[in-house]
Amino acid sequence: SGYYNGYQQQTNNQYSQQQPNPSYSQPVEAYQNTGAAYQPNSSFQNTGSYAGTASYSTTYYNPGNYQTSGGYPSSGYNNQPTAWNNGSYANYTSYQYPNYTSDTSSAYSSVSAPATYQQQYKQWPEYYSQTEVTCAPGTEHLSAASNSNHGSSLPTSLPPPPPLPPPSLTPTWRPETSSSELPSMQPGGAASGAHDNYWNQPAPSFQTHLAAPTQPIYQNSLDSKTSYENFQELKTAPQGLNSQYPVVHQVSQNYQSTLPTVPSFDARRVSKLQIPTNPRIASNAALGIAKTEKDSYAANSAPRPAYISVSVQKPNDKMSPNNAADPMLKPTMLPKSLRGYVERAFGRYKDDDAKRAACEAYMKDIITEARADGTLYTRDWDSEPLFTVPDSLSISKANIQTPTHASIPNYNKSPVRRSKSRWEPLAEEKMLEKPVSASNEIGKYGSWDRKTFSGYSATKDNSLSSFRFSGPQQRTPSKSAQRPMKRQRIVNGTGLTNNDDDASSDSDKEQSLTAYYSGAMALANNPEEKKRRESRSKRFDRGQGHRPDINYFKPKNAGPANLYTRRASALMLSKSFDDSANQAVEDIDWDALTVKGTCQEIEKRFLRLTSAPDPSTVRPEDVLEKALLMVQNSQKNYLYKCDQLKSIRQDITVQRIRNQLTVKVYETHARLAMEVGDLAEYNQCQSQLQILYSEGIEGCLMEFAAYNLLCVILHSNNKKDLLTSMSRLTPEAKEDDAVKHALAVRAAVTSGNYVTFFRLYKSAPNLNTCLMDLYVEKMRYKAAVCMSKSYRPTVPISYIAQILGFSNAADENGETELSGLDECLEWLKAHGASLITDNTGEMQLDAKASSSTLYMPEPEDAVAHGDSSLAVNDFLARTT
Amino acid sequence: MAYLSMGESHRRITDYLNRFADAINYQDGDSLARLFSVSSDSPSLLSLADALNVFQDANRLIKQSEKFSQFGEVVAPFFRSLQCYRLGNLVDAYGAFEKASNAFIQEFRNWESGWALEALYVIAYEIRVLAERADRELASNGKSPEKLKGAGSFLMKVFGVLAGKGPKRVGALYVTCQLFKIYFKLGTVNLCRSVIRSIETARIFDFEEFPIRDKVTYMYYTGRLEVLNENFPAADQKLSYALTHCCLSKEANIRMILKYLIPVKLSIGILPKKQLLENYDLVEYNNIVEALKRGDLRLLRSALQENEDQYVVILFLRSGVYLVLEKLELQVYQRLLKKIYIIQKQKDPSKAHQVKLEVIVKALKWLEIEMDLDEVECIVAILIYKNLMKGYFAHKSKVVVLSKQDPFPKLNGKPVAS
Repeated sequence: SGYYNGYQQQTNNQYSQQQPNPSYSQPVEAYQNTGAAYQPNSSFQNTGSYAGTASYSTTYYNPGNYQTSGGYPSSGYNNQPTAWNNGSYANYTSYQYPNYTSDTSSAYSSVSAPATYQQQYKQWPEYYSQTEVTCAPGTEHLSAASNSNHGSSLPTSLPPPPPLPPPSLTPTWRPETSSSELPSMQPGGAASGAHDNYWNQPAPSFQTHLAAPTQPIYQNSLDSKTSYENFQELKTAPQGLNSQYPVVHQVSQNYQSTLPTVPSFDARRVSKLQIPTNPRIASNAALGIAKTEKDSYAANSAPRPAYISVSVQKPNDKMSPNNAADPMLKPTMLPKSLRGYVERAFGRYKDDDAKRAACEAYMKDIITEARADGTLYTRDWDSEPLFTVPDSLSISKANIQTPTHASIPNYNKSPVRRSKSRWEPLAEEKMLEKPVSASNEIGKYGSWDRKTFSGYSATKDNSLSSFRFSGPQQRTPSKSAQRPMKRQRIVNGTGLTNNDDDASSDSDKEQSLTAYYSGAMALANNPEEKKRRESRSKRFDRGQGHRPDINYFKPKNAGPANLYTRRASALMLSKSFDDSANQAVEDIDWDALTVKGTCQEIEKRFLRLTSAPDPSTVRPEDVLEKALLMVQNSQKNYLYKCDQLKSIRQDITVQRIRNQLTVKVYETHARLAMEVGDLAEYNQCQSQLQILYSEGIEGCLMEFAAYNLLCVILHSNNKKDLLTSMSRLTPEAKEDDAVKHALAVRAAVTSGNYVTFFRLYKSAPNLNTCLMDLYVEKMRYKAAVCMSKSYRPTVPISYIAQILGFSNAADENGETELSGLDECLEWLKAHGASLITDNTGEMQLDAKASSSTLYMPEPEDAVAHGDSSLAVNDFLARTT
Repeated sequence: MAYLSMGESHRRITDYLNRFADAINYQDGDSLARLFSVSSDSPSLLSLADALNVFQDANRLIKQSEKFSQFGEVVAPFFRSLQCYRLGNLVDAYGAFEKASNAFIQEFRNWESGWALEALYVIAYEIRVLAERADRELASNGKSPEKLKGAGSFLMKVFGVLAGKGPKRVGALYVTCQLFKIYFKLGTVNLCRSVIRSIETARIFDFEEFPIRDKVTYMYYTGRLEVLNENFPAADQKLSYALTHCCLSKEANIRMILKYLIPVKLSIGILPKKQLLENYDLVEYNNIVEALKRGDLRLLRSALQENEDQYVVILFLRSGVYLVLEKLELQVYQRLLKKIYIIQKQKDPSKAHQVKLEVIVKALKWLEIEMDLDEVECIVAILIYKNLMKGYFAHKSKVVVLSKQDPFPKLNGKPVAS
């Protein structure tokens, strides 16, 4: 890390770019694996741009490295200008070269014939001019840089000026290529050539490249030895550090310098996905090869531009100009709000590199997903909730992720773009064949959803890890080279069988693939790369002990570490397929996302959440229990208790606690609400309780079943609800006193039997009275109307008072009876009854007269919002 | 499954595609409808499903020729649905079918005439049936069944395509009926209201112009809604319409209508003949009718009592007629009082119109129903209040004084006053 820091100080921008090297080799594997799993998803356009380099190195080695190299170095140049400013000029240039050369060479070699090379070469001047324009902020530097490069590189004696940079690298390359990778590649090429006309041309070119082109380069390299040496020095130093924990450093660095790069990540991912296809196709399916190659061919041109922007000093500025310049790139550009979102997301993990890496991975998924479903620009990123990264994840994630993001992206941008203009037509010519390849991919996709997946993991390949974008680093080079082939076979089996619908895929998608592809190949040749791989393989041995997860990621492991990857995969799947996707989403392990509170305060005001809950303000279960007790024993008024209970409910909800405590809280609140007649709050609790009871959590089930019945009968008058809740009652429930009582009340109400109703009112168990209370007024009025119509000539008030429940304690002593009688009198008067006194002096209701004068008075305590418990006075009392 | 050769599979698939293309080209709605009916388990579709499972690459066949590829968006998901259906994966079958249907609806929207209505009917039906089965599958896997809800919103979309003016409007009622079935199954009957409104307020299209089968179904469901609302005259009118227009050979349908129509008729004072109940196997109403005839409160209560005959009660609760039947109690009281009145009249015509409360209490006691004076007094008051009895109650003497003219008026098709 020390090294990096120093580095950074010198050149902020450069830092991120340079980092990529270590990560390169790693990415390769990751890409392959991913490719198999993800292919279907790859709908991204720009992707190809940067990732390409990294991934390819190990997997595919293309003999023809040299051809396009010219183009790539140039891209390197663009980046460099910034570096130069900082003063680390020599180092940077050399360092970057290796990367670029490799990228270019691989990409081009695979696809293009010598002819293409020339085209590119011609384009160079254009390219340069273009780059200048695009990188508006750094224009001056750029131009200077390019010039300088030319000057230095030209000496190499290659006809095309751009190729020069590669020379330095070439020496190392050659050995590698010829020995290990070339053999394997060539067969594939030949096969493909036979099948496909297009390929025929390239095949020959391959060989020529190896023989002729490389040598000149070699010579050049000798000439430019100085630069090379510089390069090596730089490289080796960082490598030691990088190889072990490259991820961490890079991630953090990248972020600081270039947030905008995020979009490119997505792109890269796409490319990864596709990569696998290519290998497979090459080896197994003749058909596939031609197309993929071509596509990739085309892809090279398009995707790269995205990268250019990254390399430039200010990420934001860079990104936008590039995008603007190239229509293809536009999709990559992130909306401002999203950028803000990304910054926020990373801002939280400033201090924790590992977490940030995980965060980054997650972010990628989000963006990919958004793009896939077209909400990238429409979604309200400003209000999008941030996600949390579990600690356990961070480590593994970091390792995994580094390769992908790390710095790779930056390199290629400019060169690609340049080539694009030339190449695009070509790609389109081949569009005819494209559909086939596309369908293949999709087919794979389909097969992928579950079964294939498991199959993969069974092979114990990285497939899973790759799926997550992990693992690549750990592979030894040889392994990585072989792996692809195996996997290819599997993929083919599944992929070919299911050819699914719409073959129409973005050309960009495939292009990006190719870019990766080529880059990887180029890297493989590099001697530096070889060294790196060795060191990496060693590290791998060590690393296994430390983090076994990475290698053996399997879908079954439900640990939190998997969460993100699984989530990611779920999202990916869901985007591509509709049906199978749903299942995947359903299987997300939400438990790992649940908040665990740490707040120890017993009292807490209720505040409606407007964002994800903060664990520090959420009380854990034991504290909540105390809080509930506190509320139950509190002497304060209902508003206070309601507020407290609501905050308890909120904490319970965000922590997804569903047990007896939950039931207790809701029951307590429901009872309190009933006592004060707060039906709104009561209904909330009741509906929650029904769910909780149905989950089998114990509680006062019968009591609340009775409440529910009463509530439906008395207050909602919804026949359908009543019927359903009645038919739901079990025979045991019907034996329960409270339930029986409720059912009797219901019968009394539906038949209008006021006598029964008020008898039941007096004998109500639990809080049934409270609910009935709310209906008493209505029932009394109905009764009065009924009596006034059916009785003649009079009805004694004492009888009415007794029947309509005015004299609760009537039988105990005369005093209360009197008061009940008075109350009844008051009530009757208030409702417009006409009263007379008969000859015995007893007050009577004049039924006939009353029948036309009874009315329902407006309730005195009525408030505009219909809830007297929320009257202003109470509200003021609460706030003071 | 017998071995199926690749060639044979290929032949079957192309055959289907050809028939599909022909049906569209010749605007043959009936043929098209048959090609969509997944759940009909027709031999031709089953064999096609087998063929699809053998010949995995059907999509290539679709894309191969211009003739087929234009229907690719409909046929490709349909094939997948058929495959899933054949393999017993109903959730996926539903999902794919909805996709195919969606594509078909897009096409249908562009066709001027309603030639493809038959096919659309089949699609609407299949959507519902597949969703129901998919939900059963989901529920058995412990997942929340949600497909039927999805089918509801999909059919709502279909309804939107049909509901406007023009020749396609004829099909709107069929979709409405499918929607009713879904809503009643889901218990979200309040969602019916918007559909009903658009059917009943649109004056451009006379209701009578809809196909008779749809009209019957529609009246049946709206009648049931009125039962729930306890709007008996309207329920009577709708269910009677359904009954009189229902094809006599569809006994099951007639029975379904009667299941609701009988309680409605009872509550407006019209009793069915015993023969009717027996013919349509509606014996659960026997006791209730008998109780009404005899004024036997005990019989009525036992018929509705929870523990006496659990099955029948649950049946009533489920169908939603329980509350309607329960309200018959007042009529039984009326009948009982009428009987007392008749007996008194036979004994002493001059005092027949005065019924002592004690007599009523005693009569109830004979029926083994214990009620005290206050309760009976209340019942009497309610009977008078609801106009089931003419007269008044004298509290002092505890006597019901009946009107001399028609003391127990018949309902005659009018509901009991509330």
